[in-house]
Amino acid sequence: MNLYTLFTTFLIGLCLSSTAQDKLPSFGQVDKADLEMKDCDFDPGAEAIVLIDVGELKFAYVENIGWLAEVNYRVRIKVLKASALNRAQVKMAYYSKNRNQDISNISGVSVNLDGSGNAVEAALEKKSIFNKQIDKERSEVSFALPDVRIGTVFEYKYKLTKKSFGTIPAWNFQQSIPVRYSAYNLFIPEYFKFTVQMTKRQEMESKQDKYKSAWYIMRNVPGLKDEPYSTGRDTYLQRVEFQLSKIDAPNYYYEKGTWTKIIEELMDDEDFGGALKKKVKGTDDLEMQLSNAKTVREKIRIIYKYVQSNMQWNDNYGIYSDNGIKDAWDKKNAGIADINFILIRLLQNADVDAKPLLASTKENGAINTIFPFLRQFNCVMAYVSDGDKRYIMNAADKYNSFDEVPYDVLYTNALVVDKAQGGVVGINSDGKYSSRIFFTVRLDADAKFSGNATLNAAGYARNIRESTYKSSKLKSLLEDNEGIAIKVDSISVKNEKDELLPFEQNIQFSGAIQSSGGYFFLPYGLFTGMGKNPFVEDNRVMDIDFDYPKKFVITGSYVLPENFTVSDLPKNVKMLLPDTSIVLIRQTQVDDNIISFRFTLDFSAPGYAAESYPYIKEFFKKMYEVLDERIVLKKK
Amino acid sequence: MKNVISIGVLLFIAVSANAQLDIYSALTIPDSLKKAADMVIRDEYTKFTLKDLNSAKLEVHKVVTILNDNAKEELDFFFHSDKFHVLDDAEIKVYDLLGQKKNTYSKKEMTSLNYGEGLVPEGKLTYFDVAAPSYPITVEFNYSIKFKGILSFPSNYFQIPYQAVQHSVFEVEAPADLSFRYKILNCNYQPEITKKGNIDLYRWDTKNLTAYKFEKHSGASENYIPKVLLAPNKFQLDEYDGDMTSWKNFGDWINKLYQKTSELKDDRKLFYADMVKNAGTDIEKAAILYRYLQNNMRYVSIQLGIGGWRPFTAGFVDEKKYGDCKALSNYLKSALDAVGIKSNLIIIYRDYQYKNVDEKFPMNDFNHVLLCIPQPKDTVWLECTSTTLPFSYLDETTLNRKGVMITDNGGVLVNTPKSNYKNNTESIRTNIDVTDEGEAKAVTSCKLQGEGRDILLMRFHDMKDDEKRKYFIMSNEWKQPDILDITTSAGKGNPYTVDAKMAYEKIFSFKAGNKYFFEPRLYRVFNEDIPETEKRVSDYYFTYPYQSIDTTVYHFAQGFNVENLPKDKSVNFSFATYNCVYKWDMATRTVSVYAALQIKERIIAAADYSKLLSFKKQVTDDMNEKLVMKKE
Repeated sequence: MNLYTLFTTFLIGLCLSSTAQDKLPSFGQVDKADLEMKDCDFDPGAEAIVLIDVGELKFAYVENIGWLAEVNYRVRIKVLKASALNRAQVKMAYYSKNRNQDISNISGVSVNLDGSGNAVEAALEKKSIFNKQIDKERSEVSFALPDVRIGTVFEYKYKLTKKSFGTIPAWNFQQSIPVRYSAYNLFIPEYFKFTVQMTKRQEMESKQDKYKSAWYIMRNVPGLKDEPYSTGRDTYLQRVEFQLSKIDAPNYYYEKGTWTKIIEELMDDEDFGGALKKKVKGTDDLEMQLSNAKTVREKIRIIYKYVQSNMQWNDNYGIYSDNGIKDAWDKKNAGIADINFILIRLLQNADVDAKPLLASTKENGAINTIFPFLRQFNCVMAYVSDGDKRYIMNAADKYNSFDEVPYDVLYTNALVVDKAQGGVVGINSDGKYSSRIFFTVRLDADAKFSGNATLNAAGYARNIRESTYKSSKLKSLLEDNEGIAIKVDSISVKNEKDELLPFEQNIQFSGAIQSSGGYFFLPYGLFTGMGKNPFVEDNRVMDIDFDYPKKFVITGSYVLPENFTVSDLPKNVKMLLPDTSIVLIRQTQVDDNIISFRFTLDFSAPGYAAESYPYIKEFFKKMYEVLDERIVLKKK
Repeated sequence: MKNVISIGVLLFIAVSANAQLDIYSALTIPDSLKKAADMVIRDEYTKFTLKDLNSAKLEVHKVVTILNDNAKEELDFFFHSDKFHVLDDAEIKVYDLLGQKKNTYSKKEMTSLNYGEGLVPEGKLTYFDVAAPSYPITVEFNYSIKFKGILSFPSNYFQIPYQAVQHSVFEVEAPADLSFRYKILNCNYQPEITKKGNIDLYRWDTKNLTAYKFEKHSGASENYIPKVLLAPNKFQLDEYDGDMTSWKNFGDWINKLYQKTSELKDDRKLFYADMVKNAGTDIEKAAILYRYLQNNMRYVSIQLGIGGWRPFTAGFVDEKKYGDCKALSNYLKSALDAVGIKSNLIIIYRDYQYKNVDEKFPMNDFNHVLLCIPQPKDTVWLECTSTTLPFSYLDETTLNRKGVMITDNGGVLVNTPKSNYKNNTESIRTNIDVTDEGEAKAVTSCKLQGEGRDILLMRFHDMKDDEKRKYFIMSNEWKQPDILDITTSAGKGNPYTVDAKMAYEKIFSFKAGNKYFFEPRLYRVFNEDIPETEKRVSDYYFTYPYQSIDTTVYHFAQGFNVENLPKDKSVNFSFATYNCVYKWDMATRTVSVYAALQIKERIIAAADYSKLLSFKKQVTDDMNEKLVMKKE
């Protein structure tokens, strides 16, 4: 994983220096320059700019309630294009159960220039603010600012009150649209100690004023949009996050420190360690299957497949049991934590060494191993040992093999939760995506053809291909080829049940080749499913993530009829990145009436730093050009 | 073999233990019902009981076997409660392959949350997703719904696509003095009618219906489903009494709802009068007010009051500058009134795939409101939620259908205009200068009208430059350039123009020896999904009719000469045409390719499907032709 650059992460305590916050215009007071502004100077073409984004957090002790966190938010947005108009419809969800959170003190205003160039305000009316309950736990405040059109500057502010004091909400300086000024102010009683984690790629000011409140400020932060082959926007947003490390109050001392301590707390938690102690009933059929197992590995495989096929994942992540594993097993439908708690429990019942593993999927972002923040994780998987062999398993994934590390936690760090042998582990694997294609195409005198192919999907390719097959999409995938019209006449598959062997697809197909002006064209890359070049953007912010190493091998032969001949022998091609992490080789050979070729494409690195983008982009462009090349035939 | 025997034995035990299990086991489905089916209704009993003007009850008992993943949506139970419809009780039972009950879930175990895309909740969603670790699986749903206020009755679908029916009963019970209407569509299942005292009972009993397919691109599935529609004669929603026996009366009811919603303040009336004072005609005045609406008001979904049927007042929209489709249309109507122009609201169903409205069977099945200004010729149609449509244009989501025009004398069914391919014109001209190395500089200019314009204005126009480049390359499969510089019309011009300057290191596709193969143009001019099939049952629907006119001109450097140009192509069907001409001009070393594609009809009759496939093949073949150049 050294190919990734870890984006700049700083860890510091809350000891800051220097002066206080900048002077901001008062609420509803908008500079004429902002009203007249037509474009964003630091992110041209943006649909809107967040001119001001400020949050101020205070803790307050309230008699009979306890500590309350209070955050005052203020947002000012300039609309530059019509597509940003919906940003003036504001919706804010909050956790309203038992009045744990509340939103109040809402006010809003829109400011426009009238015909004679004067600023005109339109205030948000109280009766146009709606507060609705979403479900038993959450509510939502919503309102639409009046009189918002292209050019408008609108602004709103509100107060969020929270009963809990153990968490400080994170602050994103960056959004999908540019932010001109973003500031987060924390006023925390000295009893509470937090550690701070910053993710930034440009200057962030940290200040402390005379009242000992801390400010984090960023200016002119460009918008960040999604990019293809990335781990997701959220992990790249420039932001600051906090974790409570210590409470040192009169008569109260609390220290959240080590991974060991976190593990102990988790194991004592009713919804974690407690969940694992519950029984899973009605698994007699599993006992029957297990009675034939000769090795631990076989047991692991049987139990994993049993849970995988019996449980349906409801797409929810999380690290705690929802309603207990009994309820989950009963409904056969559960979140990732409960499914894997069931897996762990059943493995333990069969005397297999299985422990919960707290992991963070790549989309959730890398965890910081130096600071034990529980909130960094978003899922539970099973960490299983058989002698020296380790298995990391997620039974919520319908197609992944028990033997293959789930791709979404590959190359991440995770926490084994076990009082005796727990701790942080790095998840690695030599697993890769492997696709091997063999085909033979027999051409007839009229340029029509019939052919057969064997496709082998192994490693990570296996579960992807199997899921395509199971959802009846394989035929259309195989028929989607560039430069040739292929009709798949039949498909049969092998090794569907045996996940240790490649998923083999045997197909018969037919069609006609393309021709023009007496020339006939044969493509190389049949059945690759590589589609179009995904890298068309000029620039890139996020690292490129291919998930795992990939290898494609296509071995093909075209059998020509008497009346055809190759117009010009195609050149052999070898292309590689300087560090040889991507290699493309194409070798073509003609023997009598048979053209045979071998096309290999080997991505040995699972990803690249964003700085490498120009090279990757160039390579992909050339690679797709090679894929678009044709063997040219003509009639004798 | 072992497996087969054991299942057989178990089945025998199960069946002998309880003959009732028959309909719960997937093993007892007759083979004839499995053909083309993704699910089989084993037993169903649905009863709609009308009590009085504003209350009714729907009770459902349904046992369904899901055969495969394609029908997995049938496993999801959900119901949207609102002020007028309340889920009274619900229960779900799950059975395995052998018909053994595995689980029972009550309403308490279901998830409930408020829903609504807009600012205020539209109602409460109650749902439960049954897990299917494997197929087949049989699920029993029992639930009842209370109607507290009535505008529409539920329809009964006898059979949705890919669904077979073993046995199903649908009953409607109504007091004889509170008559209702029904209409049977896409089938001929007649009810058995029993009259007992003051109670009328209608009963539809269907058995052993084999599944039917639903073909891709054949319009709304609604138009094929065998069903019975029900409609009230008289109804009451909140305090508002209505009569649905004629479109006129439905319009009267709408008029009642809109009462006292159209007043504007006097100074605002003067403001609008002043705005149009220099306009010569009513049409010009209306255009000015429509433009004012487009530039100043925005669409915000707020469903408030009377099930979302009564709008905010025109004064509210005038002041706050936002509203939903009803409120914006009603506001513009008031503004037009203020300058002496009479307009009418149109209640309509909005979607690309429209549902048929039966003139003789008035019922409420609408989701949108438009405005029109009737004219002796060329009535003005105004879509008030759009900030991009030109004045008096509708898009394909409201063209080609019937809507209810609301007049002072109630409702009148009217037709919106038909689509015309000429309104959806795209013309592209590209000049490519090819160097002797095969590099190129290209300049293209695209002019779009109609749907293409509207799509670009909504999705593309406001993008940043790099996003525009990506969209430009991806959406039309444009050959990826090394440099791309895009400029567009500044405003919402009609036509909308996109100009692009491009540079290519390698403009040809591939070469063989000294032969270079070039594409006739740098993108795909025709890209419709028309499935290959031997036999088409239903008509084929294009999203909209259109025409594309393309001119691509290659200027070649010295050294390149034509080895072969494709033959000119002309494909002519009544519903679509394609013409392409290839020319080489030796003096200017220029290859010019002129192509014109016209999809004249939106709907192609099933009988013409083989012609459509032939059209697709001929056009595709021509697009795949190459310009073969020889380098000397």
